Amino acid sequence: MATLPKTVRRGSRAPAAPRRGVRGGSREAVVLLAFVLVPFAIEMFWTFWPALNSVYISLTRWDGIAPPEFVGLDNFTRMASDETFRTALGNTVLWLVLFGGLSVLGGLALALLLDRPRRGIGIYRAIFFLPVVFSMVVTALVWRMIYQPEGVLNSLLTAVGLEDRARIWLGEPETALYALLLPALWRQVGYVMVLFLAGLKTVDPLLHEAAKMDGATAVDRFRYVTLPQLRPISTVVLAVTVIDALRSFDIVWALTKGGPYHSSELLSTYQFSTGVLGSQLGYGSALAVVIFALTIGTIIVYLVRSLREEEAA
Amino acid sequence: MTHLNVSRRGFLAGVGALGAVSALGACATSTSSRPVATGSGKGSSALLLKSRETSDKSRKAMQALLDEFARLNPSYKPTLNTMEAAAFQQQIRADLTLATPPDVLTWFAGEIANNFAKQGLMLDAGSVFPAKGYSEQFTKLSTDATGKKIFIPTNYYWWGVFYRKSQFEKWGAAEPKTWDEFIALCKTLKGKGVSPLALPLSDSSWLTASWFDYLNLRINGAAFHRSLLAGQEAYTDPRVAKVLDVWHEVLPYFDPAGKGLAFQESSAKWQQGKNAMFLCGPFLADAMPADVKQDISFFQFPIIDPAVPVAEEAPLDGFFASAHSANPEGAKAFLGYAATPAAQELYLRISENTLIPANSDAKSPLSTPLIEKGRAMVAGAADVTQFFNRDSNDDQLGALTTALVRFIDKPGEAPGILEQWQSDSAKARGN
Repeated sequence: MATLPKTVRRGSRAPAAPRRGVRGGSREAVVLLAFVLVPFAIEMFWTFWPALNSVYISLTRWDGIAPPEFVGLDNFTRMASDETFRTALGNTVLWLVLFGGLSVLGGLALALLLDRPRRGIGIYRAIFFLPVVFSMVVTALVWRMIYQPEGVLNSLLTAVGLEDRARIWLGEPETALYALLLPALWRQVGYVMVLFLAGLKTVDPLLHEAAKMDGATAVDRFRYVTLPQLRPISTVVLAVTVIDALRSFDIVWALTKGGPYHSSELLSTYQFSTGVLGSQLGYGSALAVVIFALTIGTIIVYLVRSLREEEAA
Repeated sequence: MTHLNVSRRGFLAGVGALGAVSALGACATSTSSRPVATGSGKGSSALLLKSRETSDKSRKAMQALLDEFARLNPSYKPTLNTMEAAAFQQQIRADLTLATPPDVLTWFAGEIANNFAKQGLMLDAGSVFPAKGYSEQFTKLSTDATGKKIFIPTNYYWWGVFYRKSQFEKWGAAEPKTWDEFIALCKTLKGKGVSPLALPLSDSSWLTASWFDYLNLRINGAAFHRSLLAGQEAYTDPRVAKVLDVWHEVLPYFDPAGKGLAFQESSAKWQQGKNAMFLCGPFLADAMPADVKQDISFFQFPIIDPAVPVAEEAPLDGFFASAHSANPEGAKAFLGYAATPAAQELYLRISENTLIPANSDAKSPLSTPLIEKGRAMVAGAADVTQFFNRDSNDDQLGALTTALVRFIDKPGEAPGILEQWQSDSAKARGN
């Protein structure tokens, strides 16, 4: 315990007093440099280098065995005429909107409901957070049983006399994507709820009291007191949600593999079945590049916007 | 003082990482420039067999095969490396282009093997390929485009319409020989409240390929089937449309729940007699209890056009040696051994798989009426195909399942489906 503050002090002082570092602690400078360079080198090698490589592969036609053949932007122009790609892109956008929107709304609503202390509140929070703990593949197994032709959902519908509404939820193109959305939301809502609960803890109760004294209604207080103070956590929630939405893969792969006939295909599953399971490494890499651009693009746009707002405030 | 150690270690790690970057740099796609192994040196007695047979008994059987080979050829030291089949399949491309690839690998006959051969990745096994023992068809399937023998077949299985004898007796059903008899049987069974045909699409949509293969083989023959899969004919051809038309006749007899069922669930329904027939391989019953296994039989896919020579699907498994093996002599010695009836019987005796030895001089060590029926059917066929993805590749199989699952759902859209199929297939082929 005694050494901890010392290290912290040293580390925090070094950049503030560079001259001292040169004279008395060149060893410290070396350590600091190593702390920067080593993770940087590892990151370069394990993350950026493969990413750059896949950008290069996306410009080739390659089956993994024969030497790759450089084809320029052919793989990207091919996407324009690829109906499956268009379906996957449309589904991904739909997924981003529905998964992102509903999980943020649902998570916020749950957080507001479960924020106030009352009897057994911990149990309710735990119940809603529980799905986050399960592995997505286990979740998928459970939902498979629910969605089966003779599964829980159809049995329930039949029991209440709605047997004409029973269908093969994962096997029909009209319902497959939405049937996948539900378990994904079931999990994400709990996660977003926890983030917002943490955010709500920072809301000053005095402000609420003051607003109440001034005659503000519950809606007003939510709109003008709670929401503005949730702004920092909202940035985190949105970034996390966008990333989670665009990288959604496991639930889809475990339940439908993008089927039936690509109707529940997301860009991530299409990329996997083309570039990893199939042998079209060039086209698969081009798809990966598109997913990367989409994710980075969405996040940069959002971050720039929220930084500007912060500066303005 | 500890931070000094950290920095030294950190720097070493950093230097190591940077060194690795420069050493491995730009190698992600460089598969063509690599040294050719010389076949001499200290590794020449070692022999690595890479296998994708992961079941406990198959692994034991593979090890027994290697032990017996080592006993007969004490100069070689073979080792077994088993990898899960899906991972094996993904990695084989990389494996074959390694500087020191596995010497011998398990694989299957068909288009991918031909592709490997075309790229010069398979060792010429002509010197150890037995002059007799293999049927003309299996010999052809082991030969590449230039006439080199590159593959040693060890065993095969067959496809047929599987049913349970006791259930057929109960329903008073008999094996249909022709398409009309088949449809009549489906109609009778449906009348008895049984769903006649099983086809699980939830996790096994690839099974649609078995229906397409057989309908195409029965209607248009093996020659057309092969050129269609090779891309020389188009899926928009009226002959392919005919296949879908004929299939349309039996679509009402498929279990409608099949769209949402996994293979295990569907085979359980078949086992319980809720689904009467299942176009499948004998692996259907692999996990079923012994009394069920004895109750199982199959019939040949019904004849549609008697003028078309009968072809059967008999997926053929075996070994090949890597062209860049460090020990080509050892690899060939093993291939020669694996081709013998004794080796093939040894493997099947221990693995207990429902497979037929590929060498016709070998006997099935665990012969059952089912196996003998399968063997007789394949032997009597005028032509033998492998299976859709073995005769083409997995990208083509993807295009097929998309088209056929959509066809099962919306048979009225057949012309559009075939156009889409042709376009997907051409794109996956890269032209």
